[in-house]
Amino acid sequence: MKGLLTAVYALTLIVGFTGCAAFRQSVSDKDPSNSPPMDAKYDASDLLGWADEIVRSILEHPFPKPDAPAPIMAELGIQNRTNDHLDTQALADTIVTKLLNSGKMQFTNTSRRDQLLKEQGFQLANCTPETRAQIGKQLGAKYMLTGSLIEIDKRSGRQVRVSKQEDVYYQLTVEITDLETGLIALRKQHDRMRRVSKPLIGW
Amino acid sequence: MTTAVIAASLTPDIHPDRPGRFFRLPAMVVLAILTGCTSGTLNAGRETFYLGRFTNAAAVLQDLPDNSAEQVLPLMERGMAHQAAGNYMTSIRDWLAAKDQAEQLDYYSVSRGGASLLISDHMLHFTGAPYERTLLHAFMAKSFMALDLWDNAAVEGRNIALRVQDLDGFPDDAYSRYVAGFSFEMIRDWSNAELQYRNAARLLDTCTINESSGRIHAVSNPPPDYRGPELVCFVSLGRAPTEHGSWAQRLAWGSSPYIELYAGEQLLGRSHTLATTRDLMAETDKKLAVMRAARTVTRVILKETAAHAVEEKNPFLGEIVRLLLYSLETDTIRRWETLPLWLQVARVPCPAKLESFRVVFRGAGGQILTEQTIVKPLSHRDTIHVSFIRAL
Repeated sequence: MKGLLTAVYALTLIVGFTGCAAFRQSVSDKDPSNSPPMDAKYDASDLLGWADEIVRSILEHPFPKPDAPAPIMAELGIQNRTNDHLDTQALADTIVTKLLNSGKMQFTNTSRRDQLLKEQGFQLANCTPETRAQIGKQLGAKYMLTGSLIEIDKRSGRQVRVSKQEDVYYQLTVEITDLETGLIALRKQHDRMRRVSKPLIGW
Repeated sequence: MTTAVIAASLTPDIHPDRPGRFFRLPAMVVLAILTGCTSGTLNAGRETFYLGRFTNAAAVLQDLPDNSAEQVLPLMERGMAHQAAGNYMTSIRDWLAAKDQAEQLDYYSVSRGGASLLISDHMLHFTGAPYERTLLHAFMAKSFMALDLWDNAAVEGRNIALRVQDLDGFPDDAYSRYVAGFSFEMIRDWSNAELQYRNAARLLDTCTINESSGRIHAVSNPPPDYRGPELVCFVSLGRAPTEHGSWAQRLAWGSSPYIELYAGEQLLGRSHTLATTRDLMAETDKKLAVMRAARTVTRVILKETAAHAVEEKNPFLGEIVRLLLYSLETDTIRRWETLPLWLQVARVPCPAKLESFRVVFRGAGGQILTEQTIVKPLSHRDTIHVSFIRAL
């Protein structure tokens, strides 16, 4: 009887101590570039890591030539060719930010072009001549930056097992095209493959 | 029909001189309340949908079950109501949530599986039959098309292609493949579009698809080569067969209705049935029949064993246990019931500036069932106008 009571007390104490932590909300900051992946799909660490990798490889390339002025570029988006509704614009924005910060390239603001024209029109109609933005003074881009992201999914076949494996492969291609000649001035690729094993049986 | 009524019909006879029968009614009421609430809301939403009150149907289905695992079917139904009401982005949100939830449940739950062997198959989470999961992507792709989000429509096209890659004996679906092919065509991914058109054509008997143009025509009547403005109509007719039937709707449409498209008085062409949910469901049921029968036999044996064990010690209590166990038998087959019966596509040449067009619904014999004028096609890309028609 005494042994039983001891066991009950011990169990109560264990539940008391471990249960509190298990059922309490927990919040902590994480480094997005180093957070461990939850699954095989695209995540925040991919966004940052791929952008870093692509920017590094673009800047290593002899483009633009060392003595040439920073070329003016227009970013026209990265096409999502995966099986998920990914925000590839966020990837393009991150790449542009890093390239801008390198000081070796300049970008026209293509995503805000409509608002820019609207604001210029507003200034033309309402602002003093000395402060209004001049019409027709925008700089034309010499190159466009575009890209695509593809995904290949491979899942293990049907067989008697307790887990299924899934390989997810991504390939990011970013290219810079000369707007005058149409020639591709530079093209960089980055790829990654991740395998995930998911249980087929759960509680 | 509510689950309570089904439960009553499955309850076995109880000997009249045993007191267990007095507990039948209260037990049924309790079980009806416990099991019928969710499906009651679901059925109310469906009935409102089929009265043509799409926004109201979505409102009826607004409150989802607290348990996220039970949300897949309500989300599928609500997404359809939103799409029919023209709330495309909301339908996408519902369907993406349904897809995510269903993927989370893609495992065998020991607790649920065990409970299903003692209670009923209703204990298993609904994740959708393979054809329903494929059609989920097809309908989502259409919502993206309606919003001119072609890259996103192609994402769903790729999901369709993935799903039909490994069907494991479940039926393939020419309609979903066509939607996938069309979404690829719209982003100029010609090779994948051709692949899907070719595979869709293989599944068809009465009509075929030109893999390079995507044009659909009767096998015996290939159209002349045409490269110009086109109107592509995705046509959804009727109501998917349900467990409880809806003969009124089936009788209204006849055996194989179709639509004709007119620009002014000029006949542009007609729609072709690429799939029916009736066939997809029948093929699926055929595949699952053995599995379901085995589970039912196991369940009956387990229930009888449990009831007998109790009965040997206390006959009265044993009868109650038996009553309760059989009362828990509920409608086991849940389906996405707002899906249409006929899944059709019309792809026809049209004037370059297509401001409006007339849709004539015809029965199998060619008789006119009803007419409708569509003022403006929903969206277009280059020279292709896209429109959706949902007729109940």
